[in-house]
Amino acid sequence: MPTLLILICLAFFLVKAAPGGPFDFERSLPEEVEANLRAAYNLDDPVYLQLAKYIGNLLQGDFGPSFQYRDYTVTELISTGFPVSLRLGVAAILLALFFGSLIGSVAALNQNSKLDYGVMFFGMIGISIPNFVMAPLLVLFFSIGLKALPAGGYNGGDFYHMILPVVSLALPQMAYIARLTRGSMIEVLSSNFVRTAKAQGLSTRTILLSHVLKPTFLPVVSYLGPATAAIITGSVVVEQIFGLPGLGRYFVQGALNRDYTLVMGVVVFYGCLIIVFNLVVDTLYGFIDPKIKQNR
Amino acid sequence: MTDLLATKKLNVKFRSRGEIIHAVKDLSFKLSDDEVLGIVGESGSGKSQTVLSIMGLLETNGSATGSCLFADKELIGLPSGELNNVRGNEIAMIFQDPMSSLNPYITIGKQMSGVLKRHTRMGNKEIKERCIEMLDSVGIGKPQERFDGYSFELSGGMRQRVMIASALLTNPKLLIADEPTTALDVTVQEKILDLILAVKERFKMSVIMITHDLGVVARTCDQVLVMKNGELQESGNTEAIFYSPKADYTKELLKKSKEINLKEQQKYTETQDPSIKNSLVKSTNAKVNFVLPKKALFSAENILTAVNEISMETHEGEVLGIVGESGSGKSTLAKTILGLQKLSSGQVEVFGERLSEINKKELKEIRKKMQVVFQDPFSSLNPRMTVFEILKEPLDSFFPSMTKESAQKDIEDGLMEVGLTPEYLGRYPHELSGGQCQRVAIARALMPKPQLLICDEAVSALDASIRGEIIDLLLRIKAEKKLTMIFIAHDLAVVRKICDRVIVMQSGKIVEQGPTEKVFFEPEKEYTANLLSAVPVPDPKMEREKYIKRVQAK
Repeated sequence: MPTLLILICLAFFLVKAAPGGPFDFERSLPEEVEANLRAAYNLDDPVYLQLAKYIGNLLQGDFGPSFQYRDYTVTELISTGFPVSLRLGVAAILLALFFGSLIGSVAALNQNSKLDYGVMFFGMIGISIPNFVMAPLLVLFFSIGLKALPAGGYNGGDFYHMILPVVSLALPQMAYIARLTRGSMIEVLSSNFVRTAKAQGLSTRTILLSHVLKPTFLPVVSYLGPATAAIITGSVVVEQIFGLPGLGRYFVQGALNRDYTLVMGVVVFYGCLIIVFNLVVDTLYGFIDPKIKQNR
Repeated sequence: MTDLLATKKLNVKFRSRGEIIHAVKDLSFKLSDDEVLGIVGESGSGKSQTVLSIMGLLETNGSATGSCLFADKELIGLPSGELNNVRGNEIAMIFQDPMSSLNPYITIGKQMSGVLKRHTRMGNKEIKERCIEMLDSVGIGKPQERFDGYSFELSGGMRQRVMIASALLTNPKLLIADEPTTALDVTVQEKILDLILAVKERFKMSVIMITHDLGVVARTCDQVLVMKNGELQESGNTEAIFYSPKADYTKELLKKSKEINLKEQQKYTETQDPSIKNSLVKSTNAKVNFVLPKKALFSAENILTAVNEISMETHEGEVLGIVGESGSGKSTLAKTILGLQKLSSGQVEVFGERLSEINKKELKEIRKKMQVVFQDPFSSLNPRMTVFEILKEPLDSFFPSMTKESAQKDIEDGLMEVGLTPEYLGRYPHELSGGQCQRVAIARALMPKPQLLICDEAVSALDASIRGEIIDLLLRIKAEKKLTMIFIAHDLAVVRKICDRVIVMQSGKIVEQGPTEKVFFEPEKEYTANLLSAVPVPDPKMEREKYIKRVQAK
């Protein structure tokens, strides 16, 4: 909770500190009109009062009206955008998790082979290329070159329309998870208890399944928290590039339009989401690691 | 007698960064049914690699050639599928570090069941019964509960018992024990060694016992192989090796081992004149409590009293030994003296100052006069600092006004003093051996020219021969610099060799204290006497008598 409060205040002041306001147009408004507008949105109050009112409204679940989308509240905008983003994010996380751990494990089991080096090389590339570079490249290759997939648009969440956004969002995370899995598994494989299992004559398969898997994925599970945060940040960019009507897109447009309440709303919403997800990850971790389970 | 295991010209080689390391050279030996074979040597002698190669457990850069027949089956070069039918089934192995050798993420029961599932056709219920029966027979209390528990809930000795229980599940013909008691306290070691001998009789097995401790060999083995640098130095039955050794290396090992173990050794330090009794450290009713994590939300606080009402003194110029098993509170006591651990009640006075009543600056002045050497030299030296930087750090913090030149000179002198040349200054700790690391740690402790040196298990992690060197070094420095030393150890032989006075601790309390000779020869308390007799001495006849006595006592 305190984390969230700090987040709200910080975002609030940062938004205010940015030059310009929601009603700065090329043609300036008549003074009395602007004053009326400011009054309507409580912008004529002192800043601390604005913050207090905002937090008060938040507690009642009211994110306030949007400054730009007339007749819409921020709550309404978030509830239309979130399903799209959720779909994108969940698909990306699952994809990254599945292929990341698979690739990482294969590399670890073939440690120092050509396969290993190859996988890790592409992994490094995956981590270093940001998705705003990766996404256009994918579009160039698959949509424009091969004409196999649509270059953008949501189309009601059509499967083919989602492939490229999900892949470009998932790639860096996949690469990171692959490296994480590889490192962790190599460490577990060289541990003394694996040696014990070998000395007991267990087959490689049994050793992997019953001794190696669980400790290997502990670091991956704890990475899921930061991974969601990274996916959320990534989705802001990817939604913009592929023209998906998700939260991230509202966020960017809100920022460009000085739509204070919308930007704040999305920040607070994402903040909550990340906090909740970290909690989930911690709980999950406790289930896997018996040492933590015991200490509760 | 038939040969259960026979190796012929066994060679183990490792490829490492283009170099080939020949770890085991042309080793041939035989092991009969129902026999305990000891393999002794220092670390790097190839004793562990020998058995690992037999078990097919060499690291991936290692390879074994030659022959090793087990019950007329060639093990070297056997495909892993067939090897897996032998290991864990006919040959079982237990390792040095039972903590890391058991999987902390799955239950003990699951780990043990895995062995039976692999090698037998028992049903789940039968498997569970067998596992619990085995846990029970190695002396684990509440085996039902332990079966569903995890290894980290157990003490070191109990973990080793679990290892032994899982090794015995399939009634193997051969048990290989690789330094099974090295990480354990003497009293626990005694119980584990007795257990190994007992199960060997009961299950009619042969045992290969790998150890660096000749006392352990004298206690347990029928036949002995002595190895050095991968080569066999001498082999024969235990009595022959101990009473009429032929190889020079064996004689040397025996001499070193007897030097610190047997009674007829001379004392190294002169006894102090009792009239000088200026005490540097004095504790009165010192008590340290730790609050353990709660088991449930509303349960009462669990308090562990690590140091319980301890009153002791350290006199100027003496070497005070503090001995006790792990968990006896000896290290916590040292921490309170160093001001690293707050007291719950009582007082500790160091150099006449009450630690609880002085501020940080005064504490720093006292720390200058009081330095410490820790157990594990590798982890107590910063791996990212060179030897020079490590030695310079105490000078920077205690003598900030020192000039560069005089610091350089001090550092070089300090290094020479511990027997290292200035060429080591540029090296990092990982480029040094364990003994060299500990020398650097000692040099670092001596940099501020302290009056009191606290050695917390300073030689426990070292090999026997290096241990001897470091002890000699400490004694020399102590005499030259007129240091007062507090020497904390669980190794009684070491304490006996260097301490003037001893404090024996058990569960946070002082059991007995007095001059070393008196405590060692006429212990007043039964606990001390048990602790002393638990130390294995390199004399097979004496050990046999002790063993028979222990068996009869049961």
